[in-house]
Amino acid sequence: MLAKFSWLLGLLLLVVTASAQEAAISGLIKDAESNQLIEGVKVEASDKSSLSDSKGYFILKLDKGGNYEVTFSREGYRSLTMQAKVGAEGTTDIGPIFLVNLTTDIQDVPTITISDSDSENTLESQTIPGLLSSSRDVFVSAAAYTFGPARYRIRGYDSELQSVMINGFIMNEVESGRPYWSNWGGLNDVMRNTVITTDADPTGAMYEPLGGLTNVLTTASEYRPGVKLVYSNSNRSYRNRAMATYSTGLMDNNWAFTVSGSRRWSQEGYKEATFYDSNSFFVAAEKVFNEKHRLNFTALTSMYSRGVGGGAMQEVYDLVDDNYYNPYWGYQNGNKRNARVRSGNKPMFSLQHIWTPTPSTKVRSTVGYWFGKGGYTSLNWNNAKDPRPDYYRYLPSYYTNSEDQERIAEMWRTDPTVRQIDWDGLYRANRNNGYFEVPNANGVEGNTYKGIRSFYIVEDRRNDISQFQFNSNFEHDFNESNWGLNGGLNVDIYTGDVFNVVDDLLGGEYWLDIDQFAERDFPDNVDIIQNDLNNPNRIVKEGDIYSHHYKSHVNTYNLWMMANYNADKYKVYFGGNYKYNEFWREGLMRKGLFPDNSFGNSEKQQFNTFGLRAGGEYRITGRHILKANASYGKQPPLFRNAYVSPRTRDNLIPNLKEETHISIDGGYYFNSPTLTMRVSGYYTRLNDQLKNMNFYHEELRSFVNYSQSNIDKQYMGLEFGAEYKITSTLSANLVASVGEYTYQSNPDVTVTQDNNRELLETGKVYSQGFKISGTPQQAFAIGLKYNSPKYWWAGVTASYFDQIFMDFNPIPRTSDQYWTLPEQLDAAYTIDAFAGKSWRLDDFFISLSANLSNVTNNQSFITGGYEQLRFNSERPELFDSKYYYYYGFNYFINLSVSF
Amino acid sequence: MKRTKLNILSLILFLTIAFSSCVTNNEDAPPLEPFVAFEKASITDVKELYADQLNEHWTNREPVEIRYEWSIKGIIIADDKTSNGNFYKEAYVQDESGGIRVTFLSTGGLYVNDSVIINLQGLYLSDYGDFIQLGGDPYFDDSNNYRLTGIDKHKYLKRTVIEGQKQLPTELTIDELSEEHMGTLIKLKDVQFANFELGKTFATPEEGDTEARSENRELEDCNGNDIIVRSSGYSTFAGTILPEGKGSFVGVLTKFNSDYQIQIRHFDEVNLEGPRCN
Repeated sequence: MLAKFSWLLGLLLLVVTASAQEAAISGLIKDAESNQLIEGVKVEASDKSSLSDSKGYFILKLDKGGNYEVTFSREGYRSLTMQAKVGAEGTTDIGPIFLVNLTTDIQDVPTITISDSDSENTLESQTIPGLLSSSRDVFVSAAAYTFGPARYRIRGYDSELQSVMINGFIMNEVESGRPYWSNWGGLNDVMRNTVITTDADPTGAMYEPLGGLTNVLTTASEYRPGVKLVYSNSNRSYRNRAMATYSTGLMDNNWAFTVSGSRRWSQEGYKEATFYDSNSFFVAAEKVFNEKHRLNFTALTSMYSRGVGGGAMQEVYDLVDDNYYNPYWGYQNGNKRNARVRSGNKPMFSLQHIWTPTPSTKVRSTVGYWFGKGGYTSLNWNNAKDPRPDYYRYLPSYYTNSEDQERIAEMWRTDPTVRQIDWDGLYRANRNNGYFEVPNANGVEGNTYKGIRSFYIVEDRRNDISQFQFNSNFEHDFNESNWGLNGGLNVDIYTGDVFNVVDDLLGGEYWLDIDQFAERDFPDNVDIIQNDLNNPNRIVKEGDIYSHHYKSHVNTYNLWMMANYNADKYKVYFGGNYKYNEFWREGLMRKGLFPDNSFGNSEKQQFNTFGLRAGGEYRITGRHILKANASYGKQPPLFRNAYVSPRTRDNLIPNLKEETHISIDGGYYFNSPTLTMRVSGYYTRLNDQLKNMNFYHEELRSFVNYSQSNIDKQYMGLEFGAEYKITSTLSANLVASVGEYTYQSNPDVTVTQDNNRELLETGKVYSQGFKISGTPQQAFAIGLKYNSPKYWWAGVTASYFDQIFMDFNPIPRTSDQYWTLPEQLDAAYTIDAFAGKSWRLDDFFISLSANLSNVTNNQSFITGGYEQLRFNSERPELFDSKYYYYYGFNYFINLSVSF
Repeated sequence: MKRTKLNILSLILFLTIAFSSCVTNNEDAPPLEPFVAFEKASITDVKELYADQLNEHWTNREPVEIRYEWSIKGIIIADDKTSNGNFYKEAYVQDESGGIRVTFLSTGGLYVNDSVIINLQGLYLSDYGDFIQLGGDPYFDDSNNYRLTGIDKHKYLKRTVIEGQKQLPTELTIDELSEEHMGTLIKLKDVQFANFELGKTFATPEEGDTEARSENRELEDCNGNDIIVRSSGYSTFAGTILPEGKGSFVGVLTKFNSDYQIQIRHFDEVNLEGPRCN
């Protein structure tokens, strides 16, 4: 009886207290773009807080009525603060509240793609992908957005230490090991669902390299259902971009589809004649069979063709008073034509099966095929003067008398056929004077071919690919204990196809496929001058393959396994991998100079390597976390570094062996409502690397190969990133990267020629202690961001870069006589700004944003460059270094509509 | 339903607008530009323009710019592609009146027996050891001497191949050689290398640390007349021992100051196999 009465009394009390004079606010919280309800949003007012439930509904009790400042926040969304007038009693509905999803609203910065590589130097394009700017790590997103245009590389690592995966398919190009973002450019809107690491923290999707993994998830059901249209305008690599994406979301029949198309175009880019023409397509289809099985299909490609801009010597920039001078173009019949056009089309198809047999086990398997063409064009010529406008003999510095120098400088200033390529002159040469008769043409005795043999042509230097990949990984949690197991198998069967094609005969009728450099040295030897003894004196027309043709075969089997232990306060992991790698060269032409080792399959090179890694995390409290990772391993050499001159023969670099790495890193992470901070440090050592450089040597009048081995590199430094909420609408961030990246050995170098078998030189390159080039080793940025509750935002960032070094020519450093340190470039600072606003109109969500880069128009910031491989000791100014400048003021404006 | 239609329609419309935008690299071939030849002048008339300079001491000479709208028309008698490496960035042109050396920016592209027309306006005449040559803009070399840059071949020159055309060498004896034969193709008969030259090579080829060097070798007839055979150290026959017989010798007549020289244009035109002068 007493129990029943006390229960009733309790209930009465509850009712009484509930209906007492208590104020509260409530409402529904929705995603501004998709209109979906959001769960788990933290609602704060005065000292109280609450979370929205699975129906997007929140209620927050307050002590009394009045005016309150209410803040809504959730990871992945822009925080919102608003004023609310709360009634003294009862619940005041202040909704619906719309939060803007950060991943849809990223400063959509496809960072400047710099692929200005001269044929003689292997300075490659390495860009920080714009996707990294969507990382939630304050350091990584700043590095991508602000530091990217200065060619900054995280930890100084080359991009082969970073992997990119799309729908489970690893998208690093096999021969160089690097991911090239141009292969899927323009598909930003369908690549926002990514898991990004930039250090050795394991992701579970593969055995990542030291620089981490960007894992793009393309499951069709995860995309926001509806349509999104985007138009962008810019003056960077291209002027216009239009993207359209349509998603069905998961439908009742358990299918989901997403399609996306994008076009980026401009007749002129930032540098003259850098036109841009690219169309990209994406489709994803998913079928969810049941909770245990789902299948996701993804196909994508980016078809692009763009004119490239090249670096030049400072003398040339000064001559034309323009640090963005481009030597690769000229006028043809009054119109601009670029000689260096990069193009590609490499469709990727992948099918991923996700199997969840139990809630604690997951198996992801992907099978895929990636194939297509890629290449860049270039002028080629025979028996005629060099058509390049900045050839050293056409510059004032070639002359020693000042009157002559002034005469040439005046020609540069006034005559566009001197300053740029004279296309009309190339056609004139071919058409007027090109008639030539080839005896025994196409290997047929007595067959004389008569016609116009072009002096000048445009050739396309191609490297096509065909790759089959199987990738499977599993995760299993042993729920009874705290142990987990994670592992996988990755199989790669790759064939590359390398050759030249005649792209344009420039008014002529044919090209003769012989080695003109061998012809000069062995003029009476009909066999030695052939590029293909199996097809001597070949008459080549537009579209024909010529000069060289070989296939690169690379097969890899990588098995990995990791165990992890998860306790309350800490977690640890350890594991390793075993990799079998084989590669060989298959020559399709028998080179006259190397008849015995150029045609057919070369010896198979085989490597068995392994790696070990361990690390963990210690959570001091929920706010303070410590992480550490250690890694040791060996890697097989890359195909492109293994052969001395794969175009002509199958000779391997001397001292071919695996490279070894040792790396440790660690960090402290702090997270509070007002401050997010990360401090990390790293030390990485890469030993026994190889590097091969090919270029044309003026004095020797031959192609020459510098092959270096036993290269040791060391990367160490500190990274700091912090974001501080000054007020609920204003936040500041500070990012610093201080590193020291150096060479730690004196590599061995072998110099060989391509027009005979002679070994020219062997020696040591005394480059120990030299700083690694191509990235600022110190970078700092400080920024302010304002988020208005009225759905607009703005910000400004100031950055400072220092310790930038030039890429050096190893040969002067092989002896005392010409040894110098590589040039250090000046420090620089830049200022960037951004602003934007979004609106919701009925069903439509509209967002407009602008990114303004280099607001002060700093045009004297040299971001990098290289010493030319040709070297004249008496007159070094003839082959001065070539430089790249940071673009002046540039912008990127984005307008998107979703519904 | 309305929503799906709107979705699809907007996508199609949007992408159609985008994909109809055109970008081009302007690769269409330009219209034909036939070569327009100036009024023909004889090679001797052209050389005459330099006559005054030859009267000066060589340190006072200056290259002469040809301002007239003249051209020369002749036949190639030596080129730097088929001369076994004996010539470099140059060719010799001969017409009915005489011959002249022409220097170019690059090697190749011209072949013995090609017909050529060279427009002369804007080109220059100078000399090397009193031997007149045609070239491009003058400049000062390291020792502050006047030199001529090579001619941009395809800007000034038109070449035509005439089937079966062949310039035969003029047969002369050494004492018949004179200024009118300068720069032309000649054939000397019954000549041999002087005794003291026997055993030497045509020139000094590049070998190890030794740099390539051009050399003079004395060629004589049976009457005591002689002429210098000058050969380049970069030629493929530079290291060949001088033939010891007597026979015929075809080459281009040049000079250096007061010394007459003959330069080989095809090594197989040197046929010194017969018995020597008594």
